[in-house]
Amino acid sequence: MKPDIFKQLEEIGKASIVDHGWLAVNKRRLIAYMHMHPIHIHLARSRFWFRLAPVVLAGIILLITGGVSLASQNTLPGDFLYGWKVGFVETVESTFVVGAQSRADFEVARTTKRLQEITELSASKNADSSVVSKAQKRLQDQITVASETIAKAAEKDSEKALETAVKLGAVLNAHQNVLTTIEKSADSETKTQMKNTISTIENTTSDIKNTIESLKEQNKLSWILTKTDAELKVEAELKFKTSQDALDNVWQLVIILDEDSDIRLKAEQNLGAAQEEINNAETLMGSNIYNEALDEIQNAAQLISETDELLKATQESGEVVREIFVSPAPTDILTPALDLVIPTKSLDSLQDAL
Amino acid sequence: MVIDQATFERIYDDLAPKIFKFCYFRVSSKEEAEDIASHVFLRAWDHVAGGKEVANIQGFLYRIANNLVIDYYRKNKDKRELSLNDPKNPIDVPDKAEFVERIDQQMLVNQVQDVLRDLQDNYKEIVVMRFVNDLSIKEISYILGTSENNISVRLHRALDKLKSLI
Repeated sequence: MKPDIFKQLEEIGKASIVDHGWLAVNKRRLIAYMHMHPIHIHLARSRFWFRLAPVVLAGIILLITGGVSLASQNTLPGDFLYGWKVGFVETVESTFVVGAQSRADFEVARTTKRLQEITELSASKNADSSVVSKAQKRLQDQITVASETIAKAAEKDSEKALETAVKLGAVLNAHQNVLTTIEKSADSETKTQMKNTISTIENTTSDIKNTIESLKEQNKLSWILTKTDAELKVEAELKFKTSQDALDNVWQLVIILDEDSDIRLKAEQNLGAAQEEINNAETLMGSNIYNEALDEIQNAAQLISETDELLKATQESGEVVREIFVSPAPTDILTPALDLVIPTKSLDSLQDAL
Repeated sequence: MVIDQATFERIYDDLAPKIFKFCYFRVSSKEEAEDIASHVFLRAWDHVAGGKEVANIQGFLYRIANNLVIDYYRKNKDKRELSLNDPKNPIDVPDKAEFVERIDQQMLVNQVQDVLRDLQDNYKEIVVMRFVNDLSIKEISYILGTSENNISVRLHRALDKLKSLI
């Protein structure tokens, strides 16, 4: 007999029974999830724009030239406005870039665009083979330009140039990984296109790796020759903290991915290796060997950057690539297709929930 | 109401403990309740991030939670039915609330769980919402998508049943 059940229910209503540890961990997961799935501004404001339609229409007429440029932003090789994008818009943009380092960053960003385009195009069933070949050639040329600008930037500041080179290497590696994964589940038509694109990327990655290694050596020598122990200590401590923070941030993005996905496995391997490098750096710093600690931190930064770019490459992939990601793999393929986002519950249960 | 990320974080701080409590007294397992409560906020964010407006965020979160609990029951139906015939592994026996730090609260949670265990699901949901989560009849009617009259009748019957059980 429990005659005071209503009183007990009332007391339970007032009591806090949640595990505060879970609350905090879950909040971090939620924040990471929100970063990966930001609000779609256009959708959120659609009603607002609908009300302002007449004003917007007038604006559109005035901004028609700019509109063409904007419309060309998401075009792919072979599209009507693609020539406008690479021939006009990007040329105009490049005139505003001043300085060797900014130029290198700009060319790496342009390489990232070419990689996104070629990944999407290679995965497309209807792509014209001559268009794909031209796009592969354009990518190769773009990587050469980016490498040259990094070499020029290194003459002035080898540390910043190294960061840019690492980013270029990470972007190339990420798209190669994405293509290799989706190639497993692609049909025979697109398989060949993808394989050719993968070898185009592979042919350039060794040069970038050499550039990165040579810049690392250059920086190491520079530390030994130009910096005192006290300066090295300050720099090592600063970079150690930055790398640990960067690692934590990327981990937050990885833990919400599906546990069985290829991308999570790859990311966990990279981040595990990065954590080891950071731990080694800490040990070396404890023994006052700062130049070697900086070297370990640099290796960690490279692994973190690779993981970050891999996540971006999968998140920012276009419709065709996403379709392949979510379509079932052929029966002869044992390796599952890459899961793009967190398929924690079925679509049915999501619809039920909403 | 357009919700940005910072607002959503504040909503989480305010409502996550309540949503957890709601789930816990419905599924009787801390781990399952935490899992469902986590998904409630992810689903809600998907909705918000899709640019859709939410007029009543608290009601909206409870509605998702309720649907996910029903989904949980549906998925575990076979297990539940099987367990009813298996005295060695009765699925409906709730976990002891060892995660609650205060002993008196632990006992209170266990006693309430014991009583709610014998209540059928459609009565349990309404009792938990009304008394454990302190929601009004109007709020419950919004969450369950039915009229306030209907909720009042169901609550009355649930209380009768509850009295008969004790």
